[in-house]
Amino acid sequence: MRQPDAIIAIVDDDLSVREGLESLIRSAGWRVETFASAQEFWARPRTEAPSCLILDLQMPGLSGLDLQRRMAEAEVEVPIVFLTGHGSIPASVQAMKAGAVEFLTKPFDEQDLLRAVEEAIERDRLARRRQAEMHELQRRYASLTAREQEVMQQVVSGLLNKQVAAELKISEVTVKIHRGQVMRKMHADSLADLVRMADKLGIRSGK
Amino acid sequence: MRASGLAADYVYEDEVGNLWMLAWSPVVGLVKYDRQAKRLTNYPLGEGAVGIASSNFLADGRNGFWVSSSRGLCYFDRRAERWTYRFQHDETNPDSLNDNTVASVYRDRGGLLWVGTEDGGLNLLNLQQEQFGFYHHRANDPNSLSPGKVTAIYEEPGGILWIGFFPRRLDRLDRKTGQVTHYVPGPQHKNSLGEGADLITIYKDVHGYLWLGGWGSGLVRFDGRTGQFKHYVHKPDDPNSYPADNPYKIYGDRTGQIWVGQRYGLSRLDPATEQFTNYRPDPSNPNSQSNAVWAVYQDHTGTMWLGTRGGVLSRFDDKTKTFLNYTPDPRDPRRLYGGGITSIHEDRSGTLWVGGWDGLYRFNHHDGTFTRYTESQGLPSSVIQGILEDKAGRLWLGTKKGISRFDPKTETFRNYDESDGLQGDEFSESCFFQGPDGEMFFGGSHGFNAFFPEDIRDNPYVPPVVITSFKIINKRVPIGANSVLTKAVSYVDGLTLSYRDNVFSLGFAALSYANSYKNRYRYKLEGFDPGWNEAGSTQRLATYTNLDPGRYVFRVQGSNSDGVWNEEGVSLPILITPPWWRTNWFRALCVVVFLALLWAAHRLRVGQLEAQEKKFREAVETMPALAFIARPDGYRTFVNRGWVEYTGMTVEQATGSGWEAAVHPDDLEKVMAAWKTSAATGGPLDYETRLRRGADGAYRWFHTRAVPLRDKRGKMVKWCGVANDIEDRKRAEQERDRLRQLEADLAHINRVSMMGELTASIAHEVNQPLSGVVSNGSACLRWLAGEAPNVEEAREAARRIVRDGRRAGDVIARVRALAKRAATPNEKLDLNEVIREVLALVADEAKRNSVVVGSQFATDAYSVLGDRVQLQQVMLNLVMNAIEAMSTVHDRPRELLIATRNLDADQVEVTVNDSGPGIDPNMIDKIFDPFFTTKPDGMGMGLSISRTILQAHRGRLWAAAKDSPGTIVHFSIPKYREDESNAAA
Repeated sequence: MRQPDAIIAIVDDDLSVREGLESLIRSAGWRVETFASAQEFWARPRTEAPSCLILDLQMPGLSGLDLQRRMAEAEVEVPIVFLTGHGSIPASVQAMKAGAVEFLTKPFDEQDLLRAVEEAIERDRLARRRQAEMHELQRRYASLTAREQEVMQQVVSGLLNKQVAAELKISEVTVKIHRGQVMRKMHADSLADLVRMADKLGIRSGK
Repeated sequence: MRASGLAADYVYEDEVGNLWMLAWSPVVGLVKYDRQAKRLTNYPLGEGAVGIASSNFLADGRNGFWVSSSRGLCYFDRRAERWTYRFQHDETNPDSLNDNTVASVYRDRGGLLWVGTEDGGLNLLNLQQEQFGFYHHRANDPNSLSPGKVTAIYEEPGGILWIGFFPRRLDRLDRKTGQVTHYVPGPQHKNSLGEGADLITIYKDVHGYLWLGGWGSGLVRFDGRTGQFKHYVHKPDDPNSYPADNPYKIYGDRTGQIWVGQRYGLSRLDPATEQFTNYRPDPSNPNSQSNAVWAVYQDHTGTMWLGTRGGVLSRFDDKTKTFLNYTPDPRDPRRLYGGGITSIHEDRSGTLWVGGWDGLYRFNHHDGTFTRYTESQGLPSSVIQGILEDKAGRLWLGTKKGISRFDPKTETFRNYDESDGLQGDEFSESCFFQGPDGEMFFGGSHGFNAFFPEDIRDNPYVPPVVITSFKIINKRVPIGANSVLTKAVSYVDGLTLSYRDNVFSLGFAALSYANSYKNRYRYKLEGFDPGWNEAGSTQRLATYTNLDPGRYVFRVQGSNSDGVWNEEGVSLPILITPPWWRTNWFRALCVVVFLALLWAAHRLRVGQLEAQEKKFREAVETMPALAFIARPDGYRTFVNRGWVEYTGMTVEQATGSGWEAAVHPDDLEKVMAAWKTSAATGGPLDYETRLRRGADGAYRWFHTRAVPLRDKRGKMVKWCGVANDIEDRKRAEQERDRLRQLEADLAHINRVSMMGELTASIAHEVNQPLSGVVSNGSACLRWLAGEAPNVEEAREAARRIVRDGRRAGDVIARVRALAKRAATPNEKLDLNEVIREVLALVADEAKRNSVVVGSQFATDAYSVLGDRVQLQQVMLNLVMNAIEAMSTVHDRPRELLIATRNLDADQVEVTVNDSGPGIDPNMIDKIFDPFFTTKPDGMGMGLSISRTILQAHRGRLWAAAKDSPGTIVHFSIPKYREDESNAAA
């Protein structure tokens, strides 16, 4: 499945490679942005994150692996397809471990590259959807009052209403009212649903 | 006649026979004994107990005696028969006698009195200075002038002087009695002089009234008979009142009318009505400085002349009451310059003179122009404060720097200053007066001078001139029997100096002690100086250096302070003896010696010729070469002993063509051909051949050269030749060739091994464009596929394929060039381009080592002549070394900077600058040694080969440590020159 509006970023210091790649990827119907160095990419205006980053491993200054690390630290999730002229095994292992989509050795096969790009776009699509869901959940969770958040934390950790009331030193009736509000505000159909949301939000204590 | 109790021990007889004695008992003073009348007359020196310090007294040569006493130096005038002067100590006057107890007095040839005192040392009295009478203030002496600057003087008949001062004071001095009356300022009142800054103008009218004026006061009338003052002040509502506070000049004309120059013009006083009539020289501009009248003067025609603050000279027409103004213009030399006018004077010839701040002007009546005199013409100062005229028609000018006497006929100035007895150097504005008997008065900062101009004479004393010192090379010459000076230089009749002493100085002096600093000198060394050298009193030394031996006469003339010259002066003959080598007897000796040498040389020559033939024969026989003589056809007639000994042949065997047996059979043909050619052309023979050594049968290389000998007609007579053993040289040459080849091989190995190190990088360099080719190729196909092929995009992709393909090809070409074994020719190279190619090859290597490569290429770098491959090899070595060196660096950027620049007009320099760990300074010279390496797997040849390459290019390669971590390696290489390329080609 092709997403015509996806943007593919190419970072390679070699003009031949960069222009060849650009033409190839455009011929496949995607939009392309090119950068001659990792710094240039890092300094680009942050309008819209690309769906895929084609990144040369060896570049003067900031290397491909450096950029990958920096993006991870900044929690910028862009699927990366690595290119290398040498194909050193330790580097490729490191890149794949850090979540690269593919690791291609120059000169690469056209089909391999396009397939990797497609996979990256798909990963990105999923990641974006996951992120959108997460944002929604966080928005809902933020709409809870402090007391409701407390109640939710207790409930998803498996405590009964009575236990929650004792823990928070409030009446059981009050717990029920808060719990109803939590379910409604969080759009949870069931307790299991709520627990799953709590997992995603990372608020379930290990009790 | 017996004079009882007369104590005197010195008697002077005067020209009429009177006897004069100095007595201290019974009277203290002079005693005269009139021999004709036989009478004693006493002239007591003073009142009270006055001791006379000396029993001596001094006749001044005229009519007086100088007597030293315990109350100062006294003068007795014999004609007047009274004591006329007494010089005494005055606390307030540093120029007075230092001590009243005078012990002795002496009059020198110049007329100066040298006065010895008991406690005040030696005092010098210059009576010349007394010719300008000097009146001044003395503290605690009520009969001296008021303190302050004298700003006005007026003498009325009868010897009464009126003196005005700044600050405002009025003094009346009765010159007969010496009594002074002081008038001090006070509020305007009939008994008071009135307030004001000063008193600058005084005039006594025919009615006996004294008129006074000054800054900041009105006009004041003083009646000496009643002692009452009348003050005329300005009344704004009365046009006929006195118009200003500053009467600058009060002037009485010949009809007795009183004129007042003031701030707003000229006022005329009607004595009857005491009303003023006021006129303005510049009526159009009432505030103009041209209206401030400073000077008023009436000429012999009765015309009134005015001088103003604004520098305008005005002629006032009394009939029409109008002014004719001569306005200033500093750019026009024939007009007034512009400074305030202080004085106007018409001389006896009718010429009008104007004095002002910018000089003295002569007014030329016929055309209304002015002639200006300033310091350039000899005035001591261009600021003229007053003009008076003496009976001889000379003008006496008061100035800011003394008094100047101007002779209009000769247009010369004679200047007098404080040292001549003037009150000081600065005289006051318009402060001058001339009494009816011709006595002149000029006032200034320290009092006033009164003098009769005809009495002012120059000091007539012609001073003796003496030579006072003699120095050789700035050292005083001692006097003695063995010295140049046998007595003091002042007394010697001449000097004889050796040529070594020809840097000498002579000091001299004119023995006139009156203002001796104004004495002048001129000297010359006859025989050397073309003219006189002028010198002042501070340069009484003449120095001469490097004079040639010979006879000279040193002459000095001197003048006294008034410019009276001793024309005769003093002269001193000086003989400088020549060094011995410039004497005549030495020259004669030289001739004799020369002749003797000539004769000896002739004898020697004859003997030499006799020995020569023998010697030559021996030389040829024993010379360390194989020598021979042959006929033109090659037939040998002579071989030397060397030939015989080397080949082992006998002379008979070698004669004719027998010698050919010694030639290596392989070379014989070549040798014969060479002989044949030279025999035909007559050109010199020159060939190399192997000759057999008789002792062991071995062949050694010889270099044979022979030249033809010709007779007078040019016909060849015989050949003379030598054969030199060049076996060793030949071997060395072969060795050198072998080494050169070895070096080339090593260099090649170095290149190839570096290629090996670079394999991965080179592969990458090829791989990158190939990658582009593949991508573009794929893209191109894609653009062309489908229903609507995008031809434009496809064309672009194809264009890039071509480009990238070429790029890959270029890399390979470079690698091949470097890997090639064959030498490349020297050519004109752009060093920047050569380096860029190397950097392209190592770019990936640098990248993989995280090295940032920078370059600074001089855009104007000269071209060089060189081998492209070799120079690239050098660069490759340096860059690879730098990358390698930086591989251990982790705590800072790895930076490599390549720079080119023109080192000077002949050299281009390349620097390779890394940020690696640097080189141990002790090792810095060793790194270029072969097999020196810091790399575990290095050969240690890279830098050594690089240095060899650069030496072959006549360049240099060296390394230097840096302040920051890292190393700089430099190499320099000569700039390309057109002529060189031709030579190389």
